[in-house]
Amino acid sequence: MEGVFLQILLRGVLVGGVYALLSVGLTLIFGVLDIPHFAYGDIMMLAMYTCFWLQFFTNMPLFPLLSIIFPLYLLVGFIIYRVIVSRLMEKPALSKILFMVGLSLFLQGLALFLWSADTRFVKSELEGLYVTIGEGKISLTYIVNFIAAMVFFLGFYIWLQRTFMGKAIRASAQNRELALATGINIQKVFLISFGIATAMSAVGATLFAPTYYVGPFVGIELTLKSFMIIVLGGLGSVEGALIGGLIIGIVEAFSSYFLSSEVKELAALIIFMGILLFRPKGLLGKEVKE
Amino acid sequence: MYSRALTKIQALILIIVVVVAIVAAASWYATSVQKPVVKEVKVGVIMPLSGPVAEFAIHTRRMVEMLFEEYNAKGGIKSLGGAKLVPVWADDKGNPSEAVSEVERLITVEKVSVIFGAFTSGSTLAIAAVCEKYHVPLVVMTAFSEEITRQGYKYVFRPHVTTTPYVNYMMEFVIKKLKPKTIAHVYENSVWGATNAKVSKAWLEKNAPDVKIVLWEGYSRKPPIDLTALVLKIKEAKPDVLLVSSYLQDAIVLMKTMYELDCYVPNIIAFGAGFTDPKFIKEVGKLALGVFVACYSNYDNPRPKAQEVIKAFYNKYGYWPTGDALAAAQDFQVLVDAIEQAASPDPEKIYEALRNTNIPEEEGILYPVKFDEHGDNIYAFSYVTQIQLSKEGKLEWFTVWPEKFAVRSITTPLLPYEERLKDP
Repeated sequence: MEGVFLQILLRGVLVGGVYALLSVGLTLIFGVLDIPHFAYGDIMMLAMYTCFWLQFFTNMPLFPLLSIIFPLYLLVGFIIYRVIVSRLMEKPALSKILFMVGLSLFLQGLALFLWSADTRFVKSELEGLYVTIGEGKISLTYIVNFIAAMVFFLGFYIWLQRTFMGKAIRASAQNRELALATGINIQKVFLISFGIATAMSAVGATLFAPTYYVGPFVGIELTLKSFMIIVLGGLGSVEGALIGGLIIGIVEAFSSYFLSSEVKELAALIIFMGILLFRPKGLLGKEVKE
Repeated sequence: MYSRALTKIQALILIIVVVVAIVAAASWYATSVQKPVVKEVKVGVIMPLSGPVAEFAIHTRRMVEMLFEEYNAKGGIKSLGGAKLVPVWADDKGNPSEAVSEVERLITVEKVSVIFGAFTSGSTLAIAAVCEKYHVPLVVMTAFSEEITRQGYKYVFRPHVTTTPYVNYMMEFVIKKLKPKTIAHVYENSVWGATNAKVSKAWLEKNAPDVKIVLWEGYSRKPPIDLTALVLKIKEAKPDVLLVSSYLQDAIVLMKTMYELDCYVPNIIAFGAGFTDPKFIKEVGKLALGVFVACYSNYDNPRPKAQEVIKAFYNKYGYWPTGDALAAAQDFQVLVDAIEQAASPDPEKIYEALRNTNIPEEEGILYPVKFDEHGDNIYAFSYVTQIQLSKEGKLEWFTVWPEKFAVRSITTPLLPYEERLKDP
């Protein structure tokens, strides 16, 4: 049984790493802009559809696709910020929530209208290749996607720590008024944050897509999962997104084995609620904003 | 006396007679013109055109489209002077409640004479009630489960084989040729899979009580389909024979997951469906080598009428039709035969014609057709194929049972994974 245990654990970690990348954008948006981005998963859904259609027409393998997805969704993030989100910043919290929920519903309806309710599948060119671990095999897709996710994640982390803009962003998240006072161009910080967050989530969604499916309502599931991960790890904490992602990935993998595949998301939810009972700020959370 | 040509009374009588004659002629003409010439008979065709089952149903859809086109091209409904057979398509998206509302619309708004559908057992069971309510006959297209014809409905007719005879032929093969001591069944949990599970279990308990049932479990097809836990259970149960009731996506996931988790069973036999789809072999490749697939019919079926349809499909679409498509061809044959016999678009007359269907051995595509009191064909039976390498080295299905139709002998047990995946 140990061989199986190891394999399940490994699977959980590999998926969890991609989850971390998926959700880190949301934690950034929460930390810096303080917007409840309910349409976060739906933009990921759009990224997955983008992958699907690009693959459909050009048969491009997954990794070159990323070089298109990242800049494209950086741009998409900038546009959404400029056109929509910037106008929401000064509005009351309820307006922000309602608007983002509305955006989410709009995107779902748009996807349903354009592409119908059929489930689609994104293929990874590594699908048929396996690596033997213990008693079984793991598809190379999981391993390579995990490595890619970690590369992006690490790159993002270093960018946040080392570059001027990264520091400006972290400063704005910690204390907006003080950041303004030190001359940081807060509008630029918001714009860049939203753009980067969108682009990161799009890359995460692309890496996640071959192990999942593409459909107009995938966004809701992904938004929920991302929220769960970042609240678990602590709102606004990038390291927390990594820890949260890994925990959720591992919990899902084990419950899929011990219980059944249908309840794995339920199990993750229960663990999530359990941890929040004891640590309402999340595992690495700094402050709770209302 | 008769100094004038006509007396006043004679003239009056003459005028009255002429007027009456004219009125009689006019009304006779008017009523004979009102008698309609039947230009078309509308058939409500309902099946998954989009949604999760659509990918798998497309082969059947293509077959049905081809059959309607061909029928009209060859002169339409002969007993109605060449009237057109008009398919009115509806999409149930693989969903029973959608199927019900679409069939309501087909019957009440489109006013079709007969319903042809719905491919999945779940939807077909649901629409059978609607057809019965409106007294519009339902010719079942491809759907398998015998639940459909065990509800006591009069208006439901199924020309192709249903669960019990299919299970009889399939299980006879399993027990006689594979001789298992332990057996397991994993099945998708809609009406189709669940009915397969119920009937095959009952068969085993009655006819092979010494064979030990080590696992009998359903799974959900809600995406993303994850069969990890199930495969680990199969691995632990160690059956000699694994029965599988899967549609396409889950069939692919099952085979791949079994490989990933190093779960080996000596024999796998599938209840057709996903395992008969060309995409299945394309996706799992050599993992499928040696798998047995029970089916409605394979494309190596030697019956002349079957070969006509099979070759026509190949010529039009460039690949061999699946068993589901061939079952639909048999269903279509009965549908048009009944309309021809009825010589009318009236649903009641078509119902009567269906009741009295009697298609002889040399005419029937897959078998002769005569209906029992449930609406099932007393002559229907099923086949078992095995996926083997063709002479050209390609993976294909070959009929191996019943023995009198076998084109190849079976190879058992399945090769271990390393050998299966080796290049020859």
